[in-house]
Amino acid sequence: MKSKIWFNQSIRVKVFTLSFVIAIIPILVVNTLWSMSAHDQLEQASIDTQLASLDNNGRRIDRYLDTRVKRFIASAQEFDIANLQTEQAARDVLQYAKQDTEIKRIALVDSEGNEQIVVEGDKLQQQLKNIATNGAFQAIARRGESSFMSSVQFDGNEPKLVIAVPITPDENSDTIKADRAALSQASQQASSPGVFMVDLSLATLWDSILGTPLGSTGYSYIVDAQGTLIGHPDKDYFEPHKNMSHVDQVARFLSNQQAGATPETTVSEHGTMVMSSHQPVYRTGWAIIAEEPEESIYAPVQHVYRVIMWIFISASLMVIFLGLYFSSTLTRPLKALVTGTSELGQGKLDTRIPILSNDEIGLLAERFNGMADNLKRLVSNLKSETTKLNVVLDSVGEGILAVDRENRIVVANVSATKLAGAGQSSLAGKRFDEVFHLTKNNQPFSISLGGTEVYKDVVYMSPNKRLHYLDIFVYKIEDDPDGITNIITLRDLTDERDLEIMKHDFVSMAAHELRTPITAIRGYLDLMAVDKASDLSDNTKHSIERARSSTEELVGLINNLLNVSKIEGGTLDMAFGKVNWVALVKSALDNHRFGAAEKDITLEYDGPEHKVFIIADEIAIKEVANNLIANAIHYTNEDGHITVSVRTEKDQVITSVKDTGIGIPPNAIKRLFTKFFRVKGGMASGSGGTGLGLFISKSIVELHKGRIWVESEEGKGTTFTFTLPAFDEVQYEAIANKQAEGVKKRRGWVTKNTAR
Amino acid sequence: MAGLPKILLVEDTPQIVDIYTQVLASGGYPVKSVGTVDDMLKVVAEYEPDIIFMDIMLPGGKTGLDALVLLRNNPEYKAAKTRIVLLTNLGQNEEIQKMWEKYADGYVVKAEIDPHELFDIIQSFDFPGPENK
Repeated sequence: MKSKIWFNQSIRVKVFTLSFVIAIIPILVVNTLWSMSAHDQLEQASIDTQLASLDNNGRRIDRYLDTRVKRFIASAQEFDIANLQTEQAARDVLQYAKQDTEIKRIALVDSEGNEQIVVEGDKLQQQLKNIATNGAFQAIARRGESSFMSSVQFDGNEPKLVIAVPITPDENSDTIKADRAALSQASQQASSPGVFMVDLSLATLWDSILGTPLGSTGYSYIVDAQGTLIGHPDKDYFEPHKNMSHVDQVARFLSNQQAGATPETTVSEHGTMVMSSHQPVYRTGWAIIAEEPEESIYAPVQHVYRVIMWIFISASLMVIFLGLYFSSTLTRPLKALVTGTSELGQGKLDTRIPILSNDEIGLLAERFNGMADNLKRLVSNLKSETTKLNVVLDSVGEGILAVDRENRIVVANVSATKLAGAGQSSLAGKRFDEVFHLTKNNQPFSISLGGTEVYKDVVYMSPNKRLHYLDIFVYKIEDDPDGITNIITLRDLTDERDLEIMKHDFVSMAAHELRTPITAIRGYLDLMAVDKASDLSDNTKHSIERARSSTEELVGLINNLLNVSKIEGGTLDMAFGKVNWVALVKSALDNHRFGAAEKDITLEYDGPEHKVFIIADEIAIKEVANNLIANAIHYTNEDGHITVSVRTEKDQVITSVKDTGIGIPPNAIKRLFTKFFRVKGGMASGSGGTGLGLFISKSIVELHKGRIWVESEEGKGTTFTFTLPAFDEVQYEAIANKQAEGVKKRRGWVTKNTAR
Repeated sequence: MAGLPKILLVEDTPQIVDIYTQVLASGGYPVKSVGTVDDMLKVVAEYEPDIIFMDIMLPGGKTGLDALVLLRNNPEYKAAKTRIVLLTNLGQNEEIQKMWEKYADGYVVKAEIDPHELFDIIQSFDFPGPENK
C-alpha cells in the first residue's frame, strides 16, 4: 500500500523527496553523533570537576578544624588553671584572642564550671557565670573527652561553633595539689580539669569553600548531619538551619552519611535540574553538596547545537528550493510530453511538443513530433481517400449501407439517408431494422444478415408515408476487422414500378378502347357473312372473309397486349381443367395444315395415340401450341419439315416443336423469351410480329409449373421444348371435384348451366 | 319451356345493340334492349326475360355489376332465376371474376366472339336454338 502511494507520485515529487533525503539525512546523522559525543564529554568534565572540588573542600574543612583543635589543646596547656584569677592570666587570654580574628569568644572555666576568664569582642567580660550544665563543659570536664566541637550556631548570619578542650592542671603545682586535695574532699571530680572554650567563627572557612565556583555557575553548600542548611553562597536563599532534607542530594546524604556519591542529575533546592553530588565531612558529620546546573554544563554544546540547527534549516530550505527547481526542470519536458500526447490522443493532430531539453526526453519529444507529422499526413491521406470513396458512394443512386454484427449501421451513403427520410441526418449507430421497416406481401419482413442474399419486391414505407418498392442485396463480408459484416444495397424501383404501372394502364386502356370498335366491325362482318338473303358476289364474300380474318388477327394482337399487361401485373389467371393433350396438339397441327401447305412444309406428329391428360387452361395452353407451330412455319423455308413430338417422362409431359428453318443466332437466344423481342430478318411469331408470342408462351407454361427452352443452330433449324406436369386420375379427380358442374368454356365466353 | 326464350339486352353502344338485336331477331328470339341500368329496372319485372345480356360499363351511374346485385337480391324484379350473362370488353379482374361466379351465369368478352356465338351461349343453358338457322 505504501509503496503504491509512492509509485503513484509524480516524478517531480519523487525527485524532490529523494534529493531532500539524500541532502538532509547525512547532516542530521553527523550532527546527532557529534552532539551526543560532545554532551558526554561535557558531562564527564563536570563530574570530574565536581568530585575534585568536593574532595578538596572536605579535606580543607577537616584539616582546618583539626588544626584548630590541636592548636587550642596546645594553647590550653599554657594557662594554669590555678592561677586564673591573676591579672596576668587575663591579659594573656585577651592577647591570645586578639591574635586570632576568627576567635569570637574565649572562656576559661574551672573544673566547677565557673567561668574564670571570658574574652568577648576583644574585651574581658566581668560578668561571669557558672556553666556547669553546658554541653561543652560536661563533655570535657565530666566525661573527660579530649576535645569537644559543638554544632554550628549562628550569630546573626555568621556561622560559628564552640570548640572546647581541657585545661590540664600542672601535677607539680602546689596550688593544684592543694586544690586537688580540697576538691577530692568536696567531690569526686575534684581532680577534673578546667575547660578552654572558644567560639570560632566559620565565616572565613565558609567564604573559601562556598566561594569556590564549580564550572561557570555551579556552587557548593553545606548541611549538617540533620540535613539542615549551615552554609550557602546565596545570601538571599540562606536561612540558618533551613531544613534541606527535601532536596534529592541531601536526602541521599541522609540515607547514607558515610559515603560520598557520584554526580548525577537531580532536582536542586531551586527546583532546577542540576548535576549534583555530596561529600561527607567525617569529623563534623556535615556534608558538602555540590551542584552545577545542567543548563550551564551543556551551554557550550547548546550553542553549537543552535548553530547546527540554523545550518540544518538553511540547508533544508536550500534543498527544498533546489529540489523544487531541479525537479521541475527535470519534469517540465516530461509534462509537456504528457500534455502533448494526450492532446494528440484527443485528435488534435496539430499538437507539437516544445523541445525543452537536449537529453533523452528532448529526443523523445522530437521523435514524438516526427510521429505526429506522419500521423497527420496519414490521417489527411486517409481523409482524402475516404472523401473520394464517399463521393463515389454518394453518387450512386442505390442506397448503400454497411452494418455490423449487431445490425447497426456503420456507413450510409446519401441515397440511403434520403430513403430513410428527411431529418435522419446520420444513420450511423442506428439499427437497420429500426430505420427501415420492411414488408413483403403485406407481412412484416426482415432481411437476414447470415449470408449473401437478394430480396425482391420488398416494400418500405418511408417516414413521409410514401411506399417504396425495393430490391435489397445483402452482401456478407468475411472477417472484417472493423466489425462491418454486411453491405446492404437498396435499389429503389418505385419510379420504374410507377412507370411500369403507367405503361400497363396505358396499354390496358388503349386495348379496351380499341376493342369496342373492333367488336362492332367484327359483328357487322359476321352479319354480312351469314346473311343468307344477301346477293353479294363471290368476290365480295371473299373480301368479307379476309376482313373477318384480319379482324380476328387484330383481336388476337390486342389480347396479347392485354395478356402482357396481366402477366406483368400478375393478374393473368388460369382456369385449370382436365385437358387431353394429344388431342389438343393434333387439333393445333390441323389448324396450321393449310398455312404449311402453302409453303410446301410437311407437318408431322410424333407421339402417343392414346390420351395423355394434363391439367391446364385449355385456351391458354392451346395458344402456346399454336404460337410455336406458327413460329416454326414462319421461320422455315419452302420444302421444310416440322415435327411436333409428345412424350411422357415420369411425372411430366414433354412437347417439342422441331423445324428445319433458318435457326436463331446465339446472341439472340438469351433474349428470345423477353417481350417485344424480335429476331432480325423476319416477322416474328405467330402472334403477328409483335414480339409478344414467346414471352406470353413462356409465362403461360410457367403458370402451368412447366419449363420452356430452345435449342438452335443457325441454318439448320430450331427446337422449342416445353414441359407440363402430367396428372394421373387421382390427382385429376381432386381438381375436377372443385370444378362446377355444367360449365361450358369457349374462346371469348364461358357459362355455367346450374339451376338457380 | 315452350317456345324461344325472351331476351333482354342491356347495352349502351348503339352498334352492339344493332348487331346483337339483328342476330337474335334473325334467330327468332324476342329481344328488348335498354341503354342503362335504371331503364332495365323499369322494364324487367313486366317483361320477365329468360336471359339478360348485360354490359358492365354502362352510363347513368350504375354498372352492370350493381344491376346484378339488385336483380338477385330484390324479388320484385322477378329476376332471381333469370339467366344473366355479363358482356364486357374489360380484362377479367378479380372483382368481376368474383361477381360473375356468385351472381351471373355467364361471361362474354364481346371482342372475342362472333355475334352468332350468342346462339351457342343461349343453348348452353338448354334453351332451344334459333328457328330458321
